[in-house]
Order: sequence, then C-alpha cells, then structure tokens
Amino acid sequence: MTDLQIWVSVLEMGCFYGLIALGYLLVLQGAGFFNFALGPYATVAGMTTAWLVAEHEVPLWPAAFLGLAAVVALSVLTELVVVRRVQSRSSGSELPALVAIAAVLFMIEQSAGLAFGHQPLAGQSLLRTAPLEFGGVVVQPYAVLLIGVTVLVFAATALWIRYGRSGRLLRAVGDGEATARLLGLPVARVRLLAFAVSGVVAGVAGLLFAPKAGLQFDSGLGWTLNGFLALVVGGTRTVWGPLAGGLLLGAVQMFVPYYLGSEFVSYVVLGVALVFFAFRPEGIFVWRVRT
Amino acid sequence: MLRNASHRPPAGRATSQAARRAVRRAARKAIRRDVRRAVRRRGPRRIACLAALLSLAAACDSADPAARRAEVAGPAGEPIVIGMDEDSSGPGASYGVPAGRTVRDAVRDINRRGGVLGRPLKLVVENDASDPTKTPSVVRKLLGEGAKAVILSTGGGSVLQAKPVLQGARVPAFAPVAISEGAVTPPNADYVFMLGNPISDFTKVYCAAMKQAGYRRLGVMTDLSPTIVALNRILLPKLRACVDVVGVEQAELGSSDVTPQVARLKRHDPDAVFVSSVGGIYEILIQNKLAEQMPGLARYSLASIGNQPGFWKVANPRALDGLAFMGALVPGNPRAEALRGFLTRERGGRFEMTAYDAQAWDSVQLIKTAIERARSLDGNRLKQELEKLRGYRPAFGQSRLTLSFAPGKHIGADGLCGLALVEFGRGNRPGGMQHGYQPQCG
Repeated sequence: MTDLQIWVSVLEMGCFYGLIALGYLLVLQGAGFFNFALGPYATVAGMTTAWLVAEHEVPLWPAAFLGLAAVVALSVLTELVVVRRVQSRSSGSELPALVAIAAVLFMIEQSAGLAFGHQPLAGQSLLRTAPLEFGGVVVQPYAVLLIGVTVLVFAATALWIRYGRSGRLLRAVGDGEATARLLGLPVARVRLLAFAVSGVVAGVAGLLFAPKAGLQFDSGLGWTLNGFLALVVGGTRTVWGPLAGGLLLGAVQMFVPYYLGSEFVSYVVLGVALVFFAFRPEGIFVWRVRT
Repeated sequence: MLRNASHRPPAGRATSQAARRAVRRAARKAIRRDVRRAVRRRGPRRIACLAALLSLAAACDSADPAARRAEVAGPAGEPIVIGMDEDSSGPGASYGVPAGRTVRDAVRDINRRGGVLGRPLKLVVENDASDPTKTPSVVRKLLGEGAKAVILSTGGGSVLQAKPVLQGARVPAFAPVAISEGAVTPPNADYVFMLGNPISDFTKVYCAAMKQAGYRRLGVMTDLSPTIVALNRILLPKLRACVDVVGVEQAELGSSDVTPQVARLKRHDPDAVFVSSVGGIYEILIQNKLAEQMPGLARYSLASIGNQPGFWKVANPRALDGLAFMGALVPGNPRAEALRGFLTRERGGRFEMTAYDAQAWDSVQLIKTAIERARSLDGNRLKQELEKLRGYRPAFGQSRLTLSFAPGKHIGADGLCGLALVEFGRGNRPGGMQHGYQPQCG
C-alpha cells in the first residue's frame, strides 16, 4: 500500500466509477429507476469525440461538445421513447422498464460499433501538457483533469440538490413520485431533467476517462456494471456515496492484482459485491434519523 | 524457380474506386433528401421507416473497409470463389483488417489484369470476431459459398479451429498473419500454409539479441487474448530456455489500468521486458505504463505493434522510444517498395504499408499461381501445386528471402531473414533496424 503510483490509479478508477455511479443516483432520485445504459452513454461521448477528431479532423473542444450533446440527446430519448412509455403501459412496474433499458444498452453498443467501427479508438485528452512528476510518481494530464473535474462535478451536484430549485424538486420527486404528482409538481419535467443531467455526468466521465485506456464499442457494459457496483457499495443516501463506492472499488481493482495477481480480481470484486448485497444493501452511507 | 515478374504490383488505377464512392455519395444524398421531404409531408411514422432505411444504408456503406462480404468482379466467365475469414471486429482486427484490405486490393488487381485462367476471382468474406469458437462455422459458411481456397486473416487461435474444417473439405488455406506453427503442424495440417517465420524463429532472434546485449533477467507482460494465450505456450518455454524469466504478468483485454502488473514486474528488477500482445490500444496501454514506470529499460515486443501505425500516434510522447519489435518489412526489398507504391496509389497519400499488407498480397499471388499451374480448382491439386512452389520472392522480409513449400513444410520462409529487429525512434515511429544482432539469410 506504499506504492503511490498505484494510489494514483486508484484515484483515476475511483473517480470514473464514481461519476458513472452518480449518474445512476441522479436517475434513481429523479425517476426511481436504474438507468443501466449509462456505461454505453460514456462510451458514446468518448467515441464520438475521438472519431470526430481522428477521422474528420474536427477541433478537439467542438468535438467534445458534440460528444456530450449526443449523449444528452440519447439520455433524453431513453426517457421519452423507452422508459416513460414502457412504464406507462406496465402500470409503473419496474421489471419491463429494466428489460427495456437492458435492450437499450446493447442497442447503443452495437450502434456505436456500426457508427465508429469495431476497432478500439484512442481517447482524446482535453489537457495536453507534460505529465506531472514528483518523487517518482507520474501523474498524466488526463488524470489531473479527471480527478479535478470529478471533485467539481460532485460538489456542484451536492450544492444543486441541496440549494437549487430544480435540485430540490428532484429530491421531492425521488422521495415520493405519487405525492409529488398530488402536489402538482412537474414530475415529467423533473424526470427528464434527471436523465439529461445523468447523461451529462456519464458523458463527462467517458470523455475524461477515454485517454487512459482507449475506447471500444462494447466497453460500456463493463462500465455500467462497475458504476452500479460503486453505487451499491457507496449507497444512495448522499451525493458523495457513489464517489466513496467508486474509490473503494478502484482500490480493490488495483491492489488485488498487485498483491494477489490479476487472476484474482474478478473473484474479489464479486466477493465484495456479494458481501454488500447480503449484509449492507443500503451501502456505506446511510442517513441516521434520531428518534 | 518461380519468377515474380507477373506478381509485381501494377501502375496506379483508382477510377473504379472513385466511381463507387461517387455512387455512394449520391445514394446518401438521395436518402437524406427523401427524409427531409418525409419530415415535411408524411409525419412521424414514415420518418421512423426512413430512419430505419437510413441506418440500413449506413450499415451497407460502412461495410467498405470491414465488410462482412465483399465481392469483386472483373473478367467474364464463372468466378473462382476465394473465401476470407477476416477478423474485423475483435482484438485481432488490428491485424485482420489491414491484411483483409490488401487481399481485396490484390483480388481487384488480378481481375483488372484478366483474372485467373481467364476467369474472375470472387472474394467472399466472413468475420470470426477473434472468437475461435466461431471460426469453424465461419469457414464452413465460406466453403458453402463455393470457396476453392481460403485466406485466414485472423489470429492463430482461430486458425487452429479452422484446420479440421479445411482438412475435411480438402480446401487449401493461407494464414498470412499467423505466427504460431501450431497452424501448420499435425493433426489436420495438410491444407494450411503460412508465409512468414513462425514464433519459434522469433524466439531464436530474441534470444540471440538479448544474449548479445547481455540481458539475463527478463520480465514478461502479456494480454489474455486467445491468440496470445496459445502463442505463449510456445513462446515462454523457449524464452525460459535462453534467459531467466523473472516474472510473467497478465492483463485482460479491455483492462483500463496495468499499473499493478507493471509495479509487480518492477519488483523483480529485470534487465529487459518482453510484451506479448495482440497490439492495438491494449499494447499502447502497456507500453505507456512501462515507459512511465520503468524508463530506460530495454523493451521487446512481437510484430503487432510495429504493424499498427494508427496506434503509434496515440501512445504517450516518446512512450515507444527504444522499443524493439519483430519487423518483417525490411528496407531494401524492391518488391516491398513496388507494393508500397501500388497501395499508396490505390489508397491515397496517407497510407502506411505494414508487413500484414505484404503477407496478404503474397498469399493471394501464391493462390493465383497454384490455380494457374494446377489448371484445376480441385483442392488436392491446388495443395500439391502449392507444395511444389520453390524460390518465391515475397514482398516482405529481407531482399534475399525466398519462400518454398513442400509436403511437410507448410511454412514458406526459407531461413530467418523473413525477420528483422526494428526499433522505434523518437516521435513514436520505427526508426530503423535495431543496432546489434540481426537475423541473417541461410
């Protein structure tokens, strides 16, 4: 645990998983629903940007903006065309919508393969400076950006949900959709907002993480699962929970191969998931209410 | 002795490609125009239908470089069908796709020049997606479509699975990018041929180079793709026979971070690191981390990274500096230069030739030669003619390299000079032959 370079990797992985998990949390709060298409959203943002820059020589920042816009459009369409319609036809039952969102996940993956090709693409780094080096530890510019932006995104989300009007509406709808409807709150608009903001968060995650390991059209499934696990571990009662879950998951994924070997990573991650599902399904962070 | 004059790449012609591009552009324009009209006149349901049509058209259009099926027609007469299993969507796509593209160019060129025995070649293509379990059905499908010879533009693991199918059907096949001799060793190896030097020759070169450089402790970093797992079964014992392999670290394909594996290798304090990988973005991830964490350490790699120019530019600055890989494109081979000129004219100025292109080109020329000599499409006759080929001068390897085949010798390269140790220079580009040991002909 004294190798600082591995801690840098833990931070990178943790921030990325934390952002995906935050996307889950926002949809869960606003729509009471797990959006399993967040991993492919992140892939699409990164791949669109990489493809526009590499294949069409579009300048980096406009390409990144287009990548994010594409993901927000996808996220909003997921709510309008799939989730809302399926839920309205199944009397609010969760299972049909979950099946539909799984189909959306694979549809986006395959469409990304069709649009951007089946070969891996290299992610584009938004920060092109020399790596930072101190005491033998090297921090790449994309890592600086990923960690910095993650902290900003979490802080901004926490403030928005606590103090922003739409953020408070999101919490109100998340606490009880039926009650919110009775109170005349704009539930449909809030749900849409939740999907749009989670799309932005997933898109930012994909954009910032892409330079680390590249992108493949089917990367999204793994990212979806890791983000979900980070949410399970971190809990859903506070905005910072997903980040804590992501960091714990990142630590497991980095230190297990270091101490035990790569072949044990999947087993240990699965073990962690089972422990949380069995003994602490509410995650690490829980609101304690005094009685 | 086989003369190569008839296999030389011809002068440039790109008109048919340009015409096809123009037709595609026109089709896309027409579809977009129809969509706009539908939006104005017909309402959302029609738009959905047209959107589906548009997706279909896009799918057909995108099939150009990585097509599931490509058909190239030319001279009159019943076409001679050549099948190609092209890995165009798995990890092996990094070598399957460039080789497959050159196979298409070679077939197109042969058809422009009158075909084979006055008949056009017709290429049918399927994709096994780097999944050896899919390969038998992919090859059966190619045979079902009438393939008289097959090009296996896919990894060694897939070639192993293709062997029994080809043996049963008695159809000869070339594996232009395979380096595992398992592809051509029994059982079921009567109909499969390789061109370049196999992995056992690679290890002779690596061992000689490391011995000359005085490296005794070697760390190995490997990915877990089926092709590399199969390759490592041959590679690692041979490396262990000549150097002390102090650690072998593995990373799943699709890993996002290899810092722990590199940190473990670092603990062993090796003199050099060998990377066994299918290449592509996975190898770039590994090389980035090795350059970052173990700067100045000697690094060796297989052939893949040297043949993937698209990935060099995405490595961190100077991350590939000093990396030695097994090259098969050697300066001074006039046939390589001729092929480079032809392919550059075909594809435009940004084209960068690799050994995969050369080996794919030679595979098609050898099949053409065998058909012409056999004057038959019988698989057994074709195999016999291939086994009689001697002294073919290929577009890869050193200029003195020849390829010869015989019953029991289905690896073409005559000697080690199909290989060269090439080193990356500054700017993440190959800078030329590595100083020190180089394999010699004979």
